[in-house]
Amino acid sequence: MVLAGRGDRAAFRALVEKYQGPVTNFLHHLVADQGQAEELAQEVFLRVFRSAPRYRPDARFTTWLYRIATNLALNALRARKRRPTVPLDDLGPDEGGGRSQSATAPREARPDEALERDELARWVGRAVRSLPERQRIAVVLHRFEGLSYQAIAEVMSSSPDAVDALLRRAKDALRDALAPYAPRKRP
Amino acid sequence: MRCQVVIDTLSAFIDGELPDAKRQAVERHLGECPGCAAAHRRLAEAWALVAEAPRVGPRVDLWPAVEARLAGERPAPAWHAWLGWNPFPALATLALVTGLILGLQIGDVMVRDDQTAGPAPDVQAGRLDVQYFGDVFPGSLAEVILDVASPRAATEAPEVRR
Repeated sequence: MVLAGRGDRAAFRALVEKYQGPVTNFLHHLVADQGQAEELAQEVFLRVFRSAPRYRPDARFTTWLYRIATNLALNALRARKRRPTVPLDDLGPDEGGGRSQSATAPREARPDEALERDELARWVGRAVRSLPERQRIAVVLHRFEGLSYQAIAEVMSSSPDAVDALLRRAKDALRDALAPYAPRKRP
Repeated sequence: MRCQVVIDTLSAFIDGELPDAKRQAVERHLGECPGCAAAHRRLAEAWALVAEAPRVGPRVDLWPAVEARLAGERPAPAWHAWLGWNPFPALATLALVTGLILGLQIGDVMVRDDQTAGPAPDVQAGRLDVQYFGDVFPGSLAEVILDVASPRAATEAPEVRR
């Protein structure tokens, strides 16, 4: 990141290639639209490049990166509220055309198991997308991107206690939404 | 530990965000309370299911598009980034305003100096002192243009310079 801040294109390219997957995934969970998630991801990296000299090496890069992504996603969602449209990905992740893959899906599975897993993945995706914005941000940052409560608080300009409250409410909502699937996971 | 306190901390417990002492207290409680243990299991199962949500990466590598948009662009220098805006229009405006203020100040001082000094004696007398213009020969073009009467010209013959 320090090299990118000095205008090193190769260093910046490595940074884009490393984080484009997580950033697009994060944005997709927030805006639920593959095309818009990719456009916003591009914009995230442009802003990172432009403000790279401001980056302080003592600050955690991912915190800074997700803060930019969060702000852009929230702006896009607000703009969409003013101009309501139906996101294509409401049809499901596969119909959206993205390179989707269940986080825990094995490479090879029987067709019926794969179908069941796809259905579950779609259901979970919808349940996550149905959460209020701030809960969704906290869930995606913690569950998919592995950020701690402290790091999420920094991204969201909040406190770890507030993040805890958000995640508690989100888990309760997800538990209710996913109740029909819960027994399948039991041994 | 009371059941309600345990229920409220289950989320952080599942995420491994509790300090050791509190985590051990919750573990002890869950081992002794079937109701809280069931609540913990349901929540943990649902949270594990969330990991089944599809991960969606970009359909194509984003770098070429990002690179194209960055064409000819360099990161802003640190001082520029620190300011957060393009300083040149502001600096130009500042220079203009400073120049205007200085100009007004200097003009004001000059006017006040003139007022303090008062008009020249010859001007007070209703005629211009021709020494400001040098010698004006009677009948010369300068006399016509300046429309002044040189005191010397009126009383003396013109000097012939060598």
